[in-house]
Amino acid sequence: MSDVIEAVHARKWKFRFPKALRSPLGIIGVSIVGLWIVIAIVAPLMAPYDPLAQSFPRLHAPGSTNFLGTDAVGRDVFSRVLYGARTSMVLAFVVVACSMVIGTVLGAVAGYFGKVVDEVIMRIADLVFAFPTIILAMVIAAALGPSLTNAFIALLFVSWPSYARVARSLVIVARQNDYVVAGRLLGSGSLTSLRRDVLPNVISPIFVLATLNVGAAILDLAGLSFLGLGAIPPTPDWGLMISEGVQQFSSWWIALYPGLAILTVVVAFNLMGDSLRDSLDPTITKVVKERAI
Amino acid sequence: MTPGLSIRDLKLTIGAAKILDGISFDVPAGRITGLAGESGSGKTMTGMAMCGLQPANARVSGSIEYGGKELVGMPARSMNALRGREIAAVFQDPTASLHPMLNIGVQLTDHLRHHEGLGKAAARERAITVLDKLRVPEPESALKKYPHQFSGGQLQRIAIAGAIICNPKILIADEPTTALDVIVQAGILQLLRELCDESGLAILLVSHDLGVMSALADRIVIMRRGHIIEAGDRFDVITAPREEYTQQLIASLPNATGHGAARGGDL
Amino acid sequence: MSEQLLRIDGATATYRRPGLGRLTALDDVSLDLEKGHVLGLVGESGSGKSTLARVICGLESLDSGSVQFNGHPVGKLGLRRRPTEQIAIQMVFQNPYASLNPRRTVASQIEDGLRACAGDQRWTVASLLEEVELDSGAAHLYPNEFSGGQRQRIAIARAIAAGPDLLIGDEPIASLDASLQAKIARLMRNLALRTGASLMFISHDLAVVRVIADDVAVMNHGKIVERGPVEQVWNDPQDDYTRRLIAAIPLVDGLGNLPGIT
Repeated sequence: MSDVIEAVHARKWKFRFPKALRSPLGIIGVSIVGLWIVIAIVAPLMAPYDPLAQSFPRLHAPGSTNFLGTDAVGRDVFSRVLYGARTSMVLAFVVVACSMVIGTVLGAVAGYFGKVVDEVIMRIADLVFAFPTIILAMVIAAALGPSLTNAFIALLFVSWPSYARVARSLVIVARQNDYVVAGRLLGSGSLTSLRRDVLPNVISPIFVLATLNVGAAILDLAGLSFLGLGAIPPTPDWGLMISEGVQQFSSWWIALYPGLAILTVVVAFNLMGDSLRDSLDPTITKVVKERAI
Repeated sequence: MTPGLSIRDLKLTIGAAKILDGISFDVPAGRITGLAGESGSGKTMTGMAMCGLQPANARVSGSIEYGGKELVGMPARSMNALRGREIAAVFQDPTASLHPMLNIGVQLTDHLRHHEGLGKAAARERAITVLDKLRVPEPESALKKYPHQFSGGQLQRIAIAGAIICNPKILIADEPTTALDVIVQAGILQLLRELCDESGLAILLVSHDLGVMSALADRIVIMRRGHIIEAGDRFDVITAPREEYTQQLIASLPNATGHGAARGGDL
Repeated sequence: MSEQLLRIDGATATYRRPGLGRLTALDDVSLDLEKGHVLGLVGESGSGKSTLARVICGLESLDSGSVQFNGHPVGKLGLRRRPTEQIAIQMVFQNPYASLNPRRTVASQIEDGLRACAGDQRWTVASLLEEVELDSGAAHLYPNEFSGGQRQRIAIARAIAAGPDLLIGDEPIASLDASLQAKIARLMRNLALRTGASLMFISHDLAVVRVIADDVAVMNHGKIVERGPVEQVWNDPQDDYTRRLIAAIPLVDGLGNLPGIT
């Protein structure tokens, strides 16, 4: 008697992004992020003026020529906010992506191999955790010299441990699954096993963590720039703009709009991350629940 | 005479899926009614519907009648009063059905005190009596222990103790011995039989294991894909099944040569 | 005369449990298995049968004693790839929902087995799926499309794909419906023997073991308490524990007799 499976269209395991977006907040989050990504790409086409051109009357309130006003040296705030997406947001993405990859790999190795490797990696992670994030980032950035690259390095250094910790816990559980053991019995080496059987099954929660961290990365970056440890003037960086705006407090538009930009991006990523996290239940478990009566 | 339970034309759907498609049978007092079937037959969902624990998005129609009351569509409050007190359940995996972080004493007496308003000391006494009756060793010290300190068989006895402590009229046992070793299983089966004979409890035994049915059930109901295929006295269903599906089920068992199989040693 | 495939000599394995002293999982266990034979290993939880299976596969190490497979000693699996001689020992696990990688297709996982095969390859993914009574067109599907029994068949196919000389089933039918258990057990026996492998079938259910095994060994508390041809042990058990085990099996005779206990 043949156990025939009904012809089901090959439902490949999809990354859960589309499903997550079906929640209203998730849709809002992705839309906002999408909008900012578009802005970052088309900023040169979209910005009315050159962000570095000091060609306007200084400290002019928002009006018809300068949609969001001008800053202390006569640059158009609107154009600078648009171009700021290219530096602040893009850099935040890259920081998160790199720290996620580095942290996950280190954490997975620690979790899979255990013993000495685990101890060494985790104690280094603990060392980093012992310091407040922004202070440590400040120290590193200050030591390396103010520049966006160095700010990037500093943030990378302080961000990887949280991914490492999460990845390690997930891997310790996942490596005990029978299919991981079966893979080893069939002759795969430890690294192959880790790469093929363990990592793909732990990546979802890590991705959620990354999404939630993008907001924090933007804030940290803005903070470093605000303190003069990140972007150097005259770069149109949101944090730097806020810093400059603080010195001209009566010209509120200089600090407000970059601040709003940061706010919208951070909130949008948080909404996305929350939505992803809520839909984290694997399809597998649902199928099992439905079938086992 | 304690009342039993009657199910008439029970239908349960979740979304488009018909989990139960019009089933009818009785669970009389003082007898063990076996509900047998493969995975997906709907047997577990029947048990869940009986104690009002079907999934929130399930639509139930038909009748489950108990002691003159209609359980289908009963408001949650009334159902809560019945559940645990008059209708109780035991599940397959005692390590999952008991709270890992609460001691046994709390887990046995919590609902008892809620339903019957007993004081702490009286509830404790009752718990010790019940544990003793179910042959859990050293009941007094057991109350202070946690689930992980017991073996599977002892834990299932404790779970059963929790179920019967309020002297329910109906006990739903959903695969109570499936997760247990065969020698331990024999003990639990004996226990369930004693409970039924002594207190007139109506037991619904849900299991895919016809061997367990053959040993314990008085009546057997065979389910398949939400329908009842066959129902009857244990002996009739097993030795002279009318339906082909039932025949296949029995024939697929390793010791289906049942009454002919030679047994070793003295029994 | 059959050659000796597996030889276990005085195997002892203990574990240290924090706060509870040492637990002896295997206590001076000696066992051998010939080519083309089916051995049933029966025992309850804690008897050591799973530990024995893991030791044979190299997943755990012994405190003392030895395991020889095809004349070579079996050591513990380390970080490196499993030695080629040992790939001829394959295992089917108890939980069908945990033995397949949910992120990979059935075909790719069976192909892992095919790639691992040391000798000539006699199977394809399609032929293996048919062999385990599944539709070969199902190869591109993911494990979550299959029921427990079907997943177990896939796991068997994957193990057989590697061309093992010894197939171990660690309670492979315990999580399945009673109506499927004998069927899958028979499938394992037939497939193993046809491909020239021996089968070590571990189960707490002596009734099923009786159907498919040539010999049976009964374990209790880390020791083998009885060993012999399956019908002989079933009809004339020598050890008290074996007698209790047999007496506890419910008969499907409709008579309502409760299985005996001591």
